[in-house]
Amino acid sequence: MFQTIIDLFWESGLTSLTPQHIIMILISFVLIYLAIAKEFEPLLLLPIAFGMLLANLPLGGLFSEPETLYTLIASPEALPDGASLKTVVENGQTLYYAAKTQAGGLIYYLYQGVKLGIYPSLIFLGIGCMTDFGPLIANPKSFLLGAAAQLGIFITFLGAMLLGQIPAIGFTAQDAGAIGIIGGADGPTAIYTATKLAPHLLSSIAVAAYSYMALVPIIQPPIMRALTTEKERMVVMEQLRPVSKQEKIIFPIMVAVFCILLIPSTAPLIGMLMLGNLMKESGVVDRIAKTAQNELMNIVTIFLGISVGATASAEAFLNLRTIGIIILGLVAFSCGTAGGVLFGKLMYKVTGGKVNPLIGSAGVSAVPMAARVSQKVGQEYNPSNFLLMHAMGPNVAGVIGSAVAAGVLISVLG
Amino acid sequence: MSIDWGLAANVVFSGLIIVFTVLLLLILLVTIMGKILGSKPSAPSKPDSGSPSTPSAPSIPAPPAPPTVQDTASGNEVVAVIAAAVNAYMEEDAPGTPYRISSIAPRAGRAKELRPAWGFAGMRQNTEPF
Repeated sequence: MFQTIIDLFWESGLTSLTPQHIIMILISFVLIYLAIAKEFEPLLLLPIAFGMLLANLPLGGLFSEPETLYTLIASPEALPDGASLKTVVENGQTLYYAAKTQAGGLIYYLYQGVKLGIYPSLIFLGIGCMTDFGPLIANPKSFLLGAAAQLGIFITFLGAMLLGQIPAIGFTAQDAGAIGIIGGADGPTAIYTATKLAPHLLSSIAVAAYSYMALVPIIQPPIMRALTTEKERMVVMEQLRPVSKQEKIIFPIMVAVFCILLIPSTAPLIGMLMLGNLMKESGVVDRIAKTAQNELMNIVTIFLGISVGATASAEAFLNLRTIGIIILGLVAFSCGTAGGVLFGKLMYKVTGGKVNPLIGSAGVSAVPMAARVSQKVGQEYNPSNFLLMHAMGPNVAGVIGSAVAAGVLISVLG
Repeated sequence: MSIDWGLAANVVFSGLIIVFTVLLLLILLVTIMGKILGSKPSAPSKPDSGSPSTPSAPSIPAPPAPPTVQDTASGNEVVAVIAAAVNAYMEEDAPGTPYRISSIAPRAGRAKELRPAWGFAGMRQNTEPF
């Protein structure tokens, strides 16, 4: 009995635990803490952190690929149950093998949804069902702020190219494109682009993107205050016009046709986003619209989070590249915010003071967090000012803008 | 490893130009759609002294302050609601006591607010969690 216990101990994961595994397990504990205690994007950070934990507990085999074992048999009659026969002719002699396929680990199969770009697109379907494009339709100029805030993507792309000169980091142009998209502040878009351009960096990019999205209320306000004057922050914007139902129905069809015709690589993201929105606005498929934004999105969120987290093996995560991505992620968010606010200032000047530049920061996507930040900062200076609906325009424009930017990066670098 | 500056410039400039162009064209399309299908905000009715359809003055004394945005359509509504609230209060605290509301004026500093009081309250309620 004592020997059995000793054998079990030697077969356990404890004997295979390396210092790298222990560091990764500790990192996953920190992320679980941030998700639960600090509520940092908990819907995704919690499954990501737990996926990271599972992937770094040795011998669990959750991410192991399916494999086929071949056993030499004397004749086809000796083929065991459940095995298939494989015949090989070698030096004029026929050899018979029993081929038995062992299934892969659970997360290997769940990861196929990430690898094939299925989960981010399905999440976009749910987001489309939850998004009201009304403020954007009422004030189409908001599109410009959504475009300006994508500046962070391209500045970070350049930053990653420069950082890639350090031999220990060595980012390629594809890696730089995948890292740059963190500036879009849109988790599914970042994951989708990373799977297409740099799958080996997926876990670091996802963790950086979601961590910074959770930190939007901390990152953005100092930049917004630094780039605007008190007078600009106090601007009360005109009430938005009401948007008719017809407009809301035509909008997703028009955007899908237009964007996909111009940049076909945006089809999975823009197509699903606009399908979801059409389902919501048409009002005739309430049942499936509710499913897409609740059950489907929740299920996909679990699968996406755990699969992405499980890619964070010690070898993939504990290196200088991850540190570089974390730094570049901050650069991306900061430059995106600055781009939006500066363009907001330009619009303030051009319109004779009718646009509050604070809504520009909402152009970085991160729906609706970035719009809430614009509202909150605006109210600090003018308590009777309600910028939320005005900021929702650039905010949802940012979602379209980052999907278009991702399409461009995939087309040029992919 | 040396940077391929040609590729980097191509990605940055073509990326920014394409993103701006696509979104600028979307502005154009959405604006055209808005012109064709958009519901226009109802224009504020201008007082016309010669018109026979001019509404009669409300029975409750109007606020003496000069008219502001609040004192248009929903202004009367606000006066009516305040009068009803005062009435309910008086009925409870001093039933039968005669009273007269002589003036309802906006609080100093509030006149510059653009929204009617009820719109303001609703907006505050909806955005309070943010």
